[in-house]
Amino acid sequence: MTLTATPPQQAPPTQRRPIGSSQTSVERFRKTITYVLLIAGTAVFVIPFLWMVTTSLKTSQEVLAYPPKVLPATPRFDNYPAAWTSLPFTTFLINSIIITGLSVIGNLVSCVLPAYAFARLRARSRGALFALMVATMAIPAEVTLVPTFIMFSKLNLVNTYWPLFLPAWFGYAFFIFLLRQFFLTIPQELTDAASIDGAGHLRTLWSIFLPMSKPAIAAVAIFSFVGNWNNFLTPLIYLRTQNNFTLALGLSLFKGQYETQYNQMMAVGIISLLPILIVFFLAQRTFVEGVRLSGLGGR
Amino acid sequence: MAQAAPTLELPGRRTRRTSPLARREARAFYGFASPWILGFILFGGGPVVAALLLSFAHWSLLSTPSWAGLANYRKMFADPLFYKSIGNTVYFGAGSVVLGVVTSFLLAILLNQKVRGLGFFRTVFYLPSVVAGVATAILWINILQPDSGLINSFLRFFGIKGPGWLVDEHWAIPGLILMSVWGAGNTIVIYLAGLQGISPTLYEAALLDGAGWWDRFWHVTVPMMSPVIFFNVVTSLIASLQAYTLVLVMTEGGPNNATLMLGLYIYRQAFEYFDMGYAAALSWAMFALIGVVTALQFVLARRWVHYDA
Amino acid sequence: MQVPRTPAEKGFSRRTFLRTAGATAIAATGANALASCSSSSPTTTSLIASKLYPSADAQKLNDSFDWGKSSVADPKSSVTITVAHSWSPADFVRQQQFDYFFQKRHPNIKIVAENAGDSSADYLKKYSSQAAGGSLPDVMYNGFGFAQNFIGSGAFLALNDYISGEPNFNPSDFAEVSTGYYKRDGKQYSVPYDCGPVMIYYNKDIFAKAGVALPTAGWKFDDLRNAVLATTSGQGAGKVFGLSLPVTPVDTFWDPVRLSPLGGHYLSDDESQVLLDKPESIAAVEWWMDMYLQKGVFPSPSELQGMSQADAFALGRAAIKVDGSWGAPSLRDQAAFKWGIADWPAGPKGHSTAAVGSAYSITSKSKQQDAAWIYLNEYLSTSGQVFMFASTGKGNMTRKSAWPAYLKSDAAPEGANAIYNALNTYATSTGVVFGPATPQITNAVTPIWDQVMGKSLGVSDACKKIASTIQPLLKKNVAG
Repeated sequence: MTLTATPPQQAPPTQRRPIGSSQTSVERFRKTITYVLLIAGTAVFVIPFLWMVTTSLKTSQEVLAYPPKVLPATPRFDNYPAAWTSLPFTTFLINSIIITGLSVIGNLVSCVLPAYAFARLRARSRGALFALMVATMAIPAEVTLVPTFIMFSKLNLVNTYWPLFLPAWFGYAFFIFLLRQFFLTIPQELTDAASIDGAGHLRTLWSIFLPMSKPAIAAVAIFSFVGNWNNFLTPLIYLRTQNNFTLALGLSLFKGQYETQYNQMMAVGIISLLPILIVFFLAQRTFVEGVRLSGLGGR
Repeated sequence: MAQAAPTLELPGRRTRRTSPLARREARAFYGFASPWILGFILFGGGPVVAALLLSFAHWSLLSTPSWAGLANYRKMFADPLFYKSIGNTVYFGAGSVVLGVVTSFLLAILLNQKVRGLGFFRTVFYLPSVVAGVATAILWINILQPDSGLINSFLRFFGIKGPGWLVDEHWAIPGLILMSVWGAGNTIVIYLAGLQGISPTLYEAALLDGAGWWDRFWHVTVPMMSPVIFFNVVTSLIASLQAYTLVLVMTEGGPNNATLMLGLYIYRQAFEYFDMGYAAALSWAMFALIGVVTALQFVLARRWVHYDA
Repeated sequence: MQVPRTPAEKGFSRRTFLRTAGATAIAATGANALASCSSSSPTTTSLIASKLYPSADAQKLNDSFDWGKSSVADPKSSVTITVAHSWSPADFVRQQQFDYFFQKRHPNIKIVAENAGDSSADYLKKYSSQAAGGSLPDVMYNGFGFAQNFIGSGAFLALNDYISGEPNFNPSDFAEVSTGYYKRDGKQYSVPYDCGPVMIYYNKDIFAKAGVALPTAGWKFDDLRNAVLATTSGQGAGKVFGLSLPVTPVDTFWDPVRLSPLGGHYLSDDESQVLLDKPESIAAVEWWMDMYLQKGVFPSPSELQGMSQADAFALGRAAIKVDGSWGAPSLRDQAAFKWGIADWPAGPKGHSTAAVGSAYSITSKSKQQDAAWIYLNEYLSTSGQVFMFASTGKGNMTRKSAWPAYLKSDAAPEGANAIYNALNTYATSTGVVFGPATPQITNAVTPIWDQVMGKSLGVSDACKKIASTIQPLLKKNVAG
């Protein structure tokens, strides 16, 4: 595994503890405490995941054993192929990738632009529009769900993917607000400098705002990916035939009125979780580059 | 798109109030904001207007709506469960936001230390907010179990008799608040993203001034993070005032309606009682509640949020 | 001041990003087009099979039936009907097998099957939205608990004309109790497909350990009470419960099962009056609750919290479970102990139990009502019920003529004869709460009963409080 926490070249670590040799022992103590806390946290936070893993390897009887058995007598790895083939999950996976992929790209494009507008561009109605945008977050989804559904069904788009990804291409208040908060912290002088160079707003956004807001963009990408990947309510309502189902919707079919197949549900649940963890692991790598700002600010 | 031709903006003379420049900037604003503005017109506005109209109608979803005048609002103001759910919602919202925002800030700082395997630790700490809901629910139902649960067993070790989490009216919301903090991975991610924007030179300067750990935290980290803290407070308050899935899974509003949140009440009216009109009226009450709280935060933010680095 | 990396330096990753994004978008649009293409004909064109339901067996079974012919003629040209189901993933395979054979028999009727899973909350969310959007399927599943909501709003077609015009339909073949939930103003709106009576499930191991005789057909309420008290034992994690589930008004069929045999009632038969505050009703509730309040025969709220994955019976921690016969298949798959099913005992004031189930309806706006009827008629014929329910071990058929095949099969649990007997003799729909106000009633009584379970409110006071709380809600049942 590569070190994700490589110290940035611009600020060598030696520069950062200049005073006295006592710093190193303090540093070592701090490191130890950090590791202790991280390992303790890991032990706690990994429990539900481990529960998923062990449950996915149990027989139906073992799932319901009382007192609960932590581990299965023999791990049932064949729960995985059995669960995966009990429904056309490969089709569901492809559908999920398409819908989530289109939504993430849509969210990124359609949120970065308005965020820049709200952070940097002045217009008389900016404040009002921003307030309106934040206000849309306050309307509970339950009450707009059905009117939105009626609209898409009038457009004859029920049982297609359009209702699931198209809205992502038209901005999402939470992400715009998030990006705006980060864009606002970028020093005005930088923008001025860029416009002195004759850069237009798109150029400024592209060459100054985006590179400097990489962590925030990574956060938006994570949230958009996770949110769309795990979304179950909209696919439930819009997707009618099984060949169009997503992974999250297929997963919900294991939940029965009188009987829930926990082992199969968890087997597919873990497979469905892996892409999320990979995306998160890759995206969180950007959470170390902030030091670049030190070279810029120069305040 | 990246290689867009440089605009003809005149260099230098950025006298901000000249009107052609301002007009051009306003045009740029509308251009850049257009995805959201169009989206609001196409997808947001219609359903919102519909929701507003529905609050003045009787509609069972299954048949055509009929005009109800103010009946839904009259019913709402006479409904004891409406007031109860508002109280529960505010209690849960305040508790989970305060605890969640503070805890995840500390966890984010922990996950921003320069140690080996940081990516692994971050991923594990993020796990609780993405593992299957049923796994989390089963875990927490067991953790909070009054007799044999983890928390009360721990308290018993110190001779304290733990409360009836989730089954005692007075302890059900505190139990849910504890649980909500667990899934605050998204808040941590936003903090982590924010922490990258703090220039190490600020810490170096503070160190040279002889600032201790606490001073650096309080006078550098917190002010520099204020826009991000503000964002997290605003959005997690909105989210927890709307929350209902957690309650639906854990307590279904019980015991004795102690965890009946406004969101759950709206959900019930809409999809259990098929009373969309009343659900819409309740939604506007929720909108007003969130609106007031959020507006208040924006006003207060002027005192403590610093955008300039 | 230092400007960050220039676009040229930094451009690579972003350009790669754009290229990838573009490629994904193009691929996705292509795939989407494909998906929408195939969605126009997602009919079952090949015989789908699973380990549970192999294609050869399905073929053989299908060929062994005489499927008859509807008096309604097949369409002259090809039509498509959409059918909404609520199956578990495993049983949806069987459904698609049925549809495959049906289409072979009716080349001009194409079936598009939808499945929202075996969870009524999800099913309702999905299809109430479709109702609002005017896009209900042609034929749809509905359950006893919500059918009246759809019927009352005119979403379903009255089937009387189709039924009377179909000489082989034979309405008297249906267990009488199964049809009551789908009638309104003398019209029938659904054809019931399953109906199960509430029975006693007993754990043989626990009965043997306590030295208590197993339930028999002649059991009385007192025998039940004695067995419940005798099998309740132990403390904490090792506690064994006499009854696995709490006695509560949230249970919409507690009247015919628990109260009526003791002379008490919950609501009037037409669900317009609360009768729970009458002295005989309070006495009936106390008969049950005394066992809990004094002996803890069923789990308290905190004990329930310790069993989050399943009820105490499935975990092997309860001697008796009072539940519908539909629970048998999952016990067969999951129970790690010996168990059986027995008749619900007779009470001092009578012998009754509840039987509830589900049905299929034709929607009133369907443009293919004739084809829909041909499907419905064949799906819920004797052959159809054997194919879907008897041969799969699901049981609970509504047609009496479909039962022999089930009772002879290996899938029938011990005591299956008792289920058939109960269904056709003492099971009733009278007293089961299923009017449009049911969800409101349930949510209104829950908090009151929470206090009884928490021992902060007496049973008698609770019954009176329930009566005054839900009486206003019953207006919805009368008004429709």
